[in-house]
Amino acid sequence: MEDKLIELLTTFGFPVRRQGSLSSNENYPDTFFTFWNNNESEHSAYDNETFNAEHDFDVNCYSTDPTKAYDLLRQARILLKNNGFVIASRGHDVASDEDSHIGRGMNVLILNNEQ
Amino acid sequence: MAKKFGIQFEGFNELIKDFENLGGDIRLITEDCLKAAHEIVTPKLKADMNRHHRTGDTEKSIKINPTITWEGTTASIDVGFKISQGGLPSIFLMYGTPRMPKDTKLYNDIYGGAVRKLIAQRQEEILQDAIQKRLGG
Repeated sequence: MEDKLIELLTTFGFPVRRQGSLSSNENYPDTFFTFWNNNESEHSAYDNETFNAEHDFDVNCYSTDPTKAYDLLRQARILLKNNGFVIASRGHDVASDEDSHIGRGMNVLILNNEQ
Repeated sequence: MAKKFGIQFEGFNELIKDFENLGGDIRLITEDCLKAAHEIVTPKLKADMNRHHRTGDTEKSIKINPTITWEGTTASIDVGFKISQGGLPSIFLMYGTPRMPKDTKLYNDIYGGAVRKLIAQRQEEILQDAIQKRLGG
């Protein structure tokens, strides 16, 4: 599911990185996405075997252009929803290490049938 | 940041009606239920902030004393970090940054499904106990 998330976010043409993976001496790209897998859990089971697994991710967009950060996250929300993700969030601020960038984030869920 | 908690569990509406019909003080029981959320979350936050201790400023911003706010017939309680009192780093910790991984455990202390379930169970217990007392049990 992580691969699916990365693949979809990559279609916007900006780097996609795991949250926290930029090193201290690595410059922020002008605009980029980050993600974080909060949890992978058993959503439903049958006969003691997982039927559906739930994957819980944070998706964040950082940019030097605030309008772009907001717009891209909205577009990402639509794209992910059209590809099976469940997204109740419409976005919240996330902190940036750099004063030059603002960040917007959302929480996304997806169920994966493992049968 | 501080999160507003409410009272939410299956069967709440029926139980509160039963309690009211027995002459119970709705305002008081509401406050007890809200305080339960604070009592469950706050020690977890304090314990998990030990991993991030430097000056202690962020930990000091944790709301220690539960304050209940009434707006008409709606009550709420703030739980967690007070941003205006040194709690801003909590956002960095709970959501991470591109250079700092998210502290998922700290995040889950406030927003996690397990803690919400625990709070709901405790709130239901409080209301059930109050009803039993009214019934003379």
